[in-house]
Amino acid sequence: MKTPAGIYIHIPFCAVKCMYCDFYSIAEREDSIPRFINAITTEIERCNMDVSDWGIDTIFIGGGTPSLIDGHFIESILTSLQNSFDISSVKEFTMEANPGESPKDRLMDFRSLGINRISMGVQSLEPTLLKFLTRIHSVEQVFETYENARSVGFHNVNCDLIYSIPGQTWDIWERDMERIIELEPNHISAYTLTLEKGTDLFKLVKDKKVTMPEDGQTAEWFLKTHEIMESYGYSSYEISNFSKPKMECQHNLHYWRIHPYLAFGPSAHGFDGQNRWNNSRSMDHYLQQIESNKSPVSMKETLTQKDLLNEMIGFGLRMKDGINLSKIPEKFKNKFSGNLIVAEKKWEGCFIQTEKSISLTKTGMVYGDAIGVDLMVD
Amino acid sequence: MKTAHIRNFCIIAHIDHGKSTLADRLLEETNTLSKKDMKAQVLDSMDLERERGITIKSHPIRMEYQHSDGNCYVLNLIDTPGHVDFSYEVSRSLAACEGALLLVDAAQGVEAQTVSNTYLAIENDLTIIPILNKVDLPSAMVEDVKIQMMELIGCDENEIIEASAKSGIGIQDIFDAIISRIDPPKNNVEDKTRALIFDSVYDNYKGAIPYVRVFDGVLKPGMTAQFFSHGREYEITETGHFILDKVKTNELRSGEVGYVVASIRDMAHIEPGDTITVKENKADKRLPGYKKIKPMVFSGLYPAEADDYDQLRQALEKLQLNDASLEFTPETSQALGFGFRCGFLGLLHMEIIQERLEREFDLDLVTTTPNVVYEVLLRTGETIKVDTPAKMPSTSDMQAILEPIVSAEILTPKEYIGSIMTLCQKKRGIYKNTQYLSPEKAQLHYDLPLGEIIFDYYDKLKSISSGYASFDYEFKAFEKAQLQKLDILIHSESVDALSTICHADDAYHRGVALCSKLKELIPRQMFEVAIQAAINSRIIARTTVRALKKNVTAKCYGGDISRKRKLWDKQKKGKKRMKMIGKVEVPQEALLAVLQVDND
Repeated sequence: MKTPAGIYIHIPFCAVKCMYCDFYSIAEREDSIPRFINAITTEIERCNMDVSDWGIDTIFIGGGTPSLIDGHFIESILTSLQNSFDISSVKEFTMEANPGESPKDRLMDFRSLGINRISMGVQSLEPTLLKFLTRIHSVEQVFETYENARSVGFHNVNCDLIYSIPGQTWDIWERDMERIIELEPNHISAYTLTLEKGTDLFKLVKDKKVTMPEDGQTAEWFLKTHEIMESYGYSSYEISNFSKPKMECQHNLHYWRIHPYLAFGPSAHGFDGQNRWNNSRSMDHYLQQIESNKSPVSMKETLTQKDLLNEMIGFGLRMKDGINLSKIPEKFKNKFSGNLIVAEKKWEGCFIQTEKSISLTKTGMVYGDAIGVDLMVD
Repeated sequence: MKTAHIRNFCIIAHIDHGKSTLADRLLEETNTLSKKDMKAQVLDSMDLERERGITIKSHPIRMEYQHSDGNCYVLNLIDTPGHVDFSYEVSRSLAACEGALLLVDAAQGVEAQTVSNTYLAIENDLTIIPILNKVDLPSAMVEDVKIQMMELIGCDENEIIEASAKSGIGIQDIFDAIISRIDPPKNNVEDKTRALIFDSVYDNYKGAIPYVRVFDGVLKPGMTAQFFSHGREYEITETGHFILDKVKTNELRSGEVGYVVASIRDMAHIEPGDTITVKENKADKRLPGYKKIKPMVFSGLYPAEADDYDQLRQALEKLQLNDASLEFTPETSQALGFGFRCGFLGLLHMEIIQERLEREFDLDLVTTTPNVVYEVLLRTGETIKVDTPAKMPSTSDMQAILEPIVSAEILTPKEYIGSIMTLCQKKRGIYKNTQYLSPEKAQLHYDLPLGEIIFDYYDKLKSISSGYASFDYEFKAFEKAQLQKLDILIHSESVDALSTICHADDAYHRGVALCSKLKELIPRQMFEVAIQAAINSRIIARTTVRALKKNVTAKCYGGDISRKRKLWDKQKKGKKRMKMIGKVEVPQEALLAVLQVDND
């Protein structure tokens, strides 16, 4: 059987950089789009990795704001992918789209290219909070873009939401959730706002101009959010991800299940089962490298068996399915069980154990990172 | 070699006063070692010794010196450690010598350590050669320090040699003084054989090797060595001198310093201070030994990983081969599992052993707060020694607790006398007297409880005197004191490793300080953790570590798995030294919290 795998394409263009976002993106560089498309197609076509035993079943075009790009550009990327890899078994093909930045005709083009899943960056339905987050769309545009996506034939739509934002009350968040749930998207990602170094938000908090909500409140909202999502039939298959039955994001599951994936575009991260690498996090450097026939890869590391296991533990615990015990290498089994015994004492009521897996209860998820670290082997 | 042409001597000096540099210079001048072979400071052969600028073990080195009187002399330099913890080793070295070079830094003046070691040398009837080192430094206080040295040993000014080991000033005068002032060993080669063991090493192939000073008679391969203390016999297979390595000789004669190989498998059979004789020429009476100092400071050493217990035991056994003053016995702690209670000569000795275990044996250790040894007079009339607070009997079973008192001397420039006295009072010191070594330098005498000085006394002394005061102590007696056992409870469980013994007047204050320090050090758990201090099960202080509310990253996608894993790796590393006490995870640092509690 072939190893399940995915392909990630990073399109870094944005109209405006959001104050909390630490993905690689650039604003006001639309003039570079054609040059970038040339480069990324070259990068794809030049890729000579042997992926013959991979079963590539997902493609994800993320960003940035890929919906800013015209359909014909996306088409040339697709053509390159088709020329280079067997993508005939792709079941899930996602594109990220922002409300107000994905006109209906462009959505139609995307759909006709075979893209079958739209991931919408909604984030909030409260105008003041959208403003705080430096989002440039209105609440109305959220509904408009959602309707457009549905009407052009996207049967799989995700809405990204953010909560525990400074100034947000529980009532605002609960109303947001309910209004989105009413739309019946197939998938909802609900993240608590995370402070990332290098963002404007980080600086505001550091300068004490903004105070992040307290952990206690965030934890409480986290648990209540899970309850509400599940009461509407959205299963929480990952710490921040909810879906209707069988509508889990297959591409993200590849990451979390430590499956391999190819990656193209500046800052994109790839993995072949043994090595992890990423491209340069600078558009100019990325372009220069490709145009001068050099590799855009800026970091590459080879994982040890232990690294792989620790990734499996850390990411496994974030999923409802938990850590698959049969995947723990024999030589680490004792160590892992030892860690588990100690962790069970410390993290009372946090584990769900079956013969085949270890996963976390809701309470456990609140401490997911700390618990993961306790189970990892050294 | 005629006995008349042998000189056995040591160097007494405070840390950084230039002992190793002088030794290097002597080695160079006698061509014992060429300049190109010279690692800076040959004597300090352990990495740790070189890094810390201290000497831990006694190293003997034999030099051949061609004197202007036409004779060739053998100079045996028996190196001595320079730290307060190792005065025991000093007395071992002194017993093997006829003379001592007293080396004093002209910019620093006489220091406490120098004083106590000089007294030891005078007690041992050694000829003292006073040397004022670093006279070429701009900050040298030649006249004042000379007054201090004259006061210390009662010599004349013209006996003091002005030198700079670094730039070679006065080296010739030092050689001349060694030859002319230090007596040669007595020639007792016809007498019954007696050799004093002053140190030993363990060699994997040759077994335990005693370092000896032969006082009477001869030791030769083929003879049967006999030890006075236990009477065991071993055939001598090799004798030799120390050049830099060991060099075989046909024999060791009266007056000589060297080593003896006799296939001695058990290190415990070689007790420094013991006398070796030979069956072929057997002596009836042993040489006067020197008193062995018992460890006074104890601490629990536990492997961070329970699996490493055996490795820790083996490592301790190996260290003990070359460090007879290290003691250890197995111990079990509820909090820490299986480990060892180890006895040390002092805090520095403890630190050095811990560092060696971690570096040379690659062990991760968890150590408990050090404590002194107590004598407890039970109601039954029996007296017992208690070396761990957890084993202190209950108050109702005890008549009295006695703690070790040391007699301490502190040397300081006179302007710091006031603050040093305040410090000593705080540490329950009893003032004895003050003497002046010179108009500038005072010598304070105090009786101090050892338990009060093993923590931060030395650091405090240094900081209030801008580093100028120095300090030395020796054990005086066990004395009754109003002591109490202070227990710490974490999440309602008493933590044996955190129990301490302290003075009744200090208990409340210390309990409060300890609780608030632990609050800082214990990471938040899922639940609220109460930290309590108790005396006789009565709670006297309490703090709370608030519950951890959340520790999870919301967003984990975009394929950047590496960054997340590296973050986890880092957290994992930080957790290496954590221990579970009941349901609470406690960092090793917290177990040493007592050391960080400021008693001000």
